[in-house]
Amino acid sequence: MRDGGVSGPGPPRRRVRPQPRPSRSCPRVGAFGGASLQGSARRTPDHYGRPSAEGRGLGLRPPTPATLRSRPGVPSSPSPAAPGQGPGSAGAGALDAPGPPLHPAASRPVPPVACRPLPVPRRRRAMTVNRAGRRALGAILKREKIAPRRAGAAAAAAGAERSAVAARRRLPGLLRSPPSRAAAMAGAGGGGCPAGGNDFQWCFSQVKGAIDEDVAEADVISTVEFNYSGDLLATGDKGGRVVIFQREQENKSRPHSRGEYNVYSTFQSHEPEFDYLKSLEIEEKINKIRWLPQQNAAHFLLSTNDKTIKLWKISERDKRAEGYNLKDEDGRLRDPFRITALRVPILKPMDLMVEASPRRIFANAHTYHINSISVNSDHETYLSADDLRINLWHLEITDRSFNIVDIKPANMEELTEVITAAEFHPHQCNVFVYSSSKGTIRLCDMRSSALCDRHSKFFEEPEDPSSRSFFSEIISSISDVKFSHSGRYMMTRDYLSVKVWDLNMESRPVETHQVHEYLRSKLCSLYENDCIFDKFECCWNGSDSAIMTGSYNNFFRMFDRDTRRDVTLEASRESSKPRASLKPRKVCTGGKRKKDEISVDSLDFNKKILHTAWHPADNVIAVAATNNLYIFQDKIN
Amino acid sequence: MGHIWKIREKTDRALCLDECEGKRDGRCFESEISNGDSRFMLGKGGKRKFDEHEDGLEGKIVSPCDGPSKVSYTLQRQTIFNISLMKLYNHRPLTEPSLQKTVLINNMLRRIQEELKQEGSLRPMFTPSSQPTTEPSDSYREAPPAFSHLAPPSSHPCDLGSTTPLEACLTPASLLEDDDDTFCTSQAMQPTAPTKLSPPTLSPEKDSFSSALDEIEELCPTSTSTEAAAAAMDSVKGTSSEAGAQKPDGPQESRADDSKLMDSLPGNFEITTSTGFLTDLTLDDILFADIDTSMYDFDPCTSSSGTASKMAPVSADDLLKTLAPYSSQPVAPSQPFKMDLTELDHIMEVLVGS
Repeated sequence: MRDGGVSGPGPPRRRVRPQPRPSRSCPRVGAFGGASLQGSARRTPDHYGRPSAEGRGLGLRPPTPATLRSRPGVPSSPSPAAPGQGPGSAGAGALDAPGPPLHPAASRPVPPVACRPLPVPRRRRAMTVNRAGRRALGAILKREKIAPRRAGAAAAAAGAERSAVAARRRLPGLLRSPPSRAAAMAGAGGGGCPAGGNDFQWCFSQVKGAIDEDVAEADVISTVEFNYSGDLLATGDKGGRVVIFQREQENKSRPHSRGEYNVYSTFQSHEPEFDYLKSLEIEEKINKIRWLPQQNAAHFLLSTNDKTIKLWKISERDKRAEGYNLKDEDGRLRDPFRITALRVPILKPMDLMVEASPRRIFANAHTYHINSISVNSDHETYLSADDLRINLWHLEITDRSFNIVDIKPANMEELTEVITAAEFHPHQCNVFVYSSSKGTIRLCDMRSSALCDRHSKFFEEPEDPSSRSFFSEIISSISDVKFSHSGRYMMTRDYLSVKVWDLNMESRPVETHQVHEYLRSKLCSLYENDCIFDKFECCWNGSDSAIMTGSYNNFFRMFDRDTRRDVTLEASRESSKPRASLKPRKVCTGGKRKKDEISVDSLDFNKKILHTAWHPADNVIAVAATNNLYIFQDKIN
Repeated sequence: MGHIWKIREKTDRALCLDECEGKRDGRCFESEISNGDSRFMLGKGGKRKFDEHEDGLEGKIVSPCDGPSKVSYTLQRQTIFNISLMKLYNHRPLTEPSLQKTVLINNMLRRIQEELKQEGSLRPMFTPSSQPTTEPSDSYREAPPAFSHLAPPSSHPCDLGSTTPLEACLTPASLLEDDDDTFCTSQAMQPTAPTKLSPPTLSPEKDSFSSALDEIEELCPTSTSTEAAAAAMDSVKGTSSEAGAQKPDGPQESRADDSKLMDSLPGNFEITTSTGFLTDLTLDDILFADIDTSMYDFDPCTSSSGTASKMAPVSADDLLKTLAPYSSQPVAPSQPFKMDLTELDHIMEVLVGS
């Protein structure tokens, strides 16, 4: 990181928790005039196309988290991060500048978008579920046949009649689980002995969601994410709802319910909005959910739709205070003159209640659709990326964000490349990567300049001229980028393959795994029916030894990096017998079709697995197949 | 106007192209037709024939299984081009369309256009001739030079001496020669499009435009090809569009409505990527896009823009004029009908007045 050598006068910097960009108070703005203005000299127009040199944040008070306020003064004349030095390699740390010259000038003031204002209710109890009723909830909902709201209806008309009460009533389809297969029951396992060694023997554990043939659009799962410990599994759907499952503690009385996931909480995260300026609806679909590391008893997660990011706090309440002095038990105020004795309220246990309340709403910072959010390793900041810009936020501050990447050209007609995904490095809080629609990945170091338009590393695999076609560019567009847990590697998913890159080598990936190469000859049809634009995600396992990604026909693929073996599995109702092992599937590309193989022509391109997640420690995977969530566990105990 | 080629959203074009890409196991893969609902790729047998006389003007693809690879490449390229245009302009989403998708489709179109440019630069350009045409190929010959940087492989139509009527050539890929002819016409159309009119603004008027085209079809005009060639060349040389030359008040009106309309159209979030890139493909869009009105749901468009209806008379009029020369059917000389501009005006008045 930074070495101790500080060029200017002043006390040596005190090593505090690594900060990506210690903020400077206003007087420092001038000190960084050289460097930061160099970096932010370009006058990109603001939200409405007006060039906003003034609005670059000069003079704005930068965020000063508590840890930084007590920092001693920095040298008044730091050597600006010279352009030549700018793109410092990640981790090299040989910077003369005393620190990352984050400059608040990079921030853009956020003009309000003409949206319907979001309600920010406090203490909103979206859904209360007590422990006893959780398992019964599924049966109850199925019985009552609560139909989820159909997304995509005329939003303007429906918006007026939608109320908070109605929102509560819209329960996600995930809460309904098929009665006969609700839980992994003790039963004859369907598979054979687990294969030895590193091979996984995946077997079915649970499936969430209804089996209806016609799936409500609002029930389609749009994101899946485990939290840091793996105890909680969050899913977001197109209807703007978040459902959180919690893993049951294993107990002796039910030995076979090894870590079952049951509904823990559900709430409506985003509502559809209407952008009056463009006369277009803003979808409430949850694009991404990211958990924050747990710091106290409550859980925090960030959820985002196309335009707005929200920080939710999920907290449990299992005690209730009784015996207030000024209030009766039923809440009526007592007449102060009638109080003759004082008592201390007593905490009494109550049924567990899980509340979800929005803590922060980060809105109006993105003109284009947000495609990724990523929490930084400093646990204080996070980035949000849309098609053309990446913004850096502080979790505490909602009215200001720093723009750190902007690839919008001056003339929009020259636009040929968009940002498709972005992620922070898991350990280095100043490093992040973003992928583009042209198949390139750029690694940026926030210490080099305030605006990271110039990358530090540029990852691109040279094109194979023999496989060039009309669709080469489209299929090279990267849909997801994920760092490995170790931080040494990153994985990118383009349409037909998954590539593993070593951060130290930019010229080509170290591994390339073909996901569904048999589709290469069908690209024209897939272009016509828009399937070629599907954005598949990928994930690592906890030890970075295996990677997983989805495909069509409810297939998903798993690649073991050590043994170089891969397997295709299917998430389907047929293989949903309790503890049934998943059979590897195979797609035959032509010629004679062997038994148990599926031919390319009979693949169902409507059944696509775009979102998968792997437990950070155990071999438990969650696979989202349209409206159903499948949970598979490894048989090896 | 004879048969106007019609693109069906999910047709067998792409499938046959996939077939051309190398799988010669004799099976065509068919995707079901509906928006984004391509479920299965089923096998089907047999080739499908181009029916020249079919009413309703559906262009079908003959799977060029036996064609040389060059044919299939051109065929594929043209099909992809058309599919891309369809994607850009037929979509009427309630929400903002994905910028990534738009950019990728635009890149695809640009690349194809570059290729065509390069191909065009390899071949000699024809000098513009102003004599009236008696053969179909001559009329094409006039049109291409108007579009100087996209001169088509024009040797083909002339060499082949194609007697296929113009309308047949508008179907993109039934036969090799038609394919190239299509290039001719497509490129020819481009320069005549008024530059001020962006393609999205034209789509709402396809409603009235298609009915107008039907009228023209009935009237079966021949070109005053001198007029046509001159007009075509004028529009390329000058910056003002042909519409501007002939209808001075039109563009001004259209300009005012343009901004309003463009704001409300998809793919436009402060850019006019599609419009800026493809202003020269406006008429291409008109010609190749589906004239079938059932594919366009104008209700949200007109309600949101509120000016679409106003746009109709102006630009449709222009398009009619520009199309009139190209709608000539020299093959049917039995009806040497001449469509005057005044007659077009009259038709437009009738349409608008109703």
